[in-house]
Amino acid sequence: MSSSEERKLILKSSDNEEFVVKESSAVQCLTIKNLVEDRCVSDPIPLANVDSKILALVIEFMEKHAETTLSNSEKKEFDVEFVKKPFDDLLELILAANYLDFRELMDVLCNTCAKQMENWSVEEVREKFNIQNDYTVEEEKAARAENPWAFE
Amino acid sequence: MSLQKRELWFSNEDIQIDVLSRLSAKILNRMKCVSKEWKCLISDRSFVRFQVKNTETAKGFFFQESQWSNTDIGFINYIPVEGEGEKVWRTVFNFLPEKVIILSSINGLMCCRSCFSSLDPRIYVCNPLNKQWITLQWPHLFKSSSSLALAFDPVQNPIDASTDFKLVLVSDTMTGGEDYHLSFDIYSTETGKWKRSNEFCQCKHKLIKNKGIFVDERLYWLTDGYQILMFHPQIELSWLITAPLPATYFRSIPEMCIGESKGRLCYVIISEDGLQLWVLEDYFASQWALNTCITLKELERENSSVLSNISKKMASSINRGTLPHWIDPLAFKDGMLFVRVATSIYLFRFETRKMKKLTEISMLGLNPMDSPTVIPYTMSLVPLG
Repeated sequence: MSSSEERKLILKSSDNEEFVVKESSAVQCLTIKNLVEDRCVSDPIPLANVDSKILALVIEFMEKHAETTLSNSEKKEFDVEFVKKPFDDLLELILAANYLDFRELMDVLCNTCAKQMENWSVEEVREKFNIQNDYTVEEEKAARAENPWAFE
Repeated sequence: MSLQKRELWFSNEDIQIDVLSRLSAKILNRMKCVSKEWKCLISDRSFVRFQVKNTETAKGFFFQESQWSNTDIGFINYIPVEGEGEKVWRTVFNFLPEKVIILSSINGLMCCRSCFSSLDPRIYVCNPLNKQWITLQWPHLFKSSSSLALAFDPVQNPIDASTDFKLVLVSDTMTGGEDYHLSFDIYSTETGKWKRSNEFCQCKHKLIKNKGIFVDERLYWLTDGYQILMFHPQIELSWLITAPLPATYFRSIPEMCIGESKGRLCYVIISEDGLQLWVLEDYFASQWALNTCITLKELERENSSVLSNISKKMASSINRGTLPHWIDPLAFKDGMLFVRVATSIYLFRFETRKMKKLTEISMLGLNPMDSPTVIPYTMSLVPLG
C-alpha cells in the first residue's frame, strides 16, 4: 500500500488549528477509533478539549508509537525524552490523553507524574497540583503525627 | 494551566486515581496530609483495591525478643530500612488495646496475639499504617510450640467488598509412642471459624526462626532439620522441602533463614563457605537454584569496616558450640538481609553487597539474642473491619 493510499484523518484543536494524521496512528486513541468504527467521522474531527500546543505533542507521541520499524527500547528512549517537560504541560497532556482515551500515552505520563511526586514534600505536591489545603493547623499536625515511623 | 483546565483535572477522579495508584503505600500515607479530599480518596477501599500490588518491597523490619516470662512481653521494635541514623521505633502497636506478641505479616497486615496467661486471650489482625484492627476467635489448642501464620493476597482475593484472609495454626501432636506429627488448623474470614484440616505432616523437626512466610498461595516455615515445611491453605496440602545443601555438607553448623523476594521463596545460608542465596524452583522436587554466592573474603573486602577477620571469628564462634554464632541471618525479604553480626544489627543488600548498620542489639530488648521474632514489613493501605 503506498502512502498516498493510506487513509488520513484531520483533527481540529480547540483553537481551530487542523492537523493531518494517518488513521492507523490516530486509532491508538480509542475515542477516535470508536468514531471511525461507527462511521461517524466528520471532516475534520473537532477536539474541543485539546488545544493546538498539546495536540501537536500528542500527535508526535502517537506517530512515534505507531511506527512499526522502531524497537520497544527505541520507543522507550523516545518516551524518556518526551516526558522532560514542565509539570503543567504533563498535566495538560494527561487531560488530553484521558479525553482521547490514549492508554499508552496515559501510562507513560502517569508513571512520570508518580515518579516525580515520590520526591516531593506535602507542600510541594499542593503547590504543583494547585491544591487547597483544607486541614486546620491542629488537624494537619495530628495527621502528620499519626504514624511518624512510616515516614522514614 | 488555565483555571478551567485545573477544574477538569480535579473533577475527574479517574485521573487522580490513575496517577495516585502508581505510588507506594508509604508515599500515599504521606500524601494523606495534602488535603482531606486526598485522605478520603487514599483511604477508600475501592482505591486501595486498585492500588495494592504484590510487588511492593519491605520498608522495615519488626523485631521482638522471645517471651521469657508468662506475664511480660518485650517491646515490638520497628527498624526502618532507610532510616537516618540508628532509629528504632517502639510505639507502632500502641493503638491496640493490650501488649501483643507479633506472629506473622504479609501485604501490610500483621497477625499478633495476647499473652497466653491473659484472662481473655485474643488473636489480632491489624494494619499499623491505618491503625485498624480486628480480633478473632482464639484457636482451640494454641500451645507455645504452635505457630500461627497469615495468608493474605489482595491481588488474588480483591478487597473491594471486604478484606479476606486465612490463618494457619501449625501444632505438634503426639500420635502415640514417640512419633509426633504436625497438624493444621485453618481460620477463614469467609466462615469466621477455625477448622481442623485433615492434612497432617510427619515432621521430626522443630519450627524455628522464620515462621509462616507467605509466597504465591503457600506458607513456608524453616525447621531446625534442613527441611522447610510448606502448607497450601486453599488445597490443604503439606510438603517437606529439603534445604538446598544437606547437613553433612558442612564442617560446622551454618546459620540460615528463609524469606521472599520477587515472588519466590529464598533460602539464605552463612557458613565457612560464605553467604549463599538460593531460590526455590520446584517445591515438589526440592529443586533450588543458586542465585548468589559470596565468599567470606569478598564479604569482608566489600565491608571492611564492619567485618574484619570474618573467617577467624566464624571459626572460633563455631568451635564454642552452644554460644550464639558470631553472625546470624535473622530475616530476608526483597534482596535485603536483616543480619546480626556480633552485637550489632545490619542490613545487607545482595545487589550492592554492602552492609549498613541499623542498630545495636542491646537497643532491642533485655534478652534479644535468644530466638527473637524478626518479621520483614511491607506497608499497605488495606483496610480492616
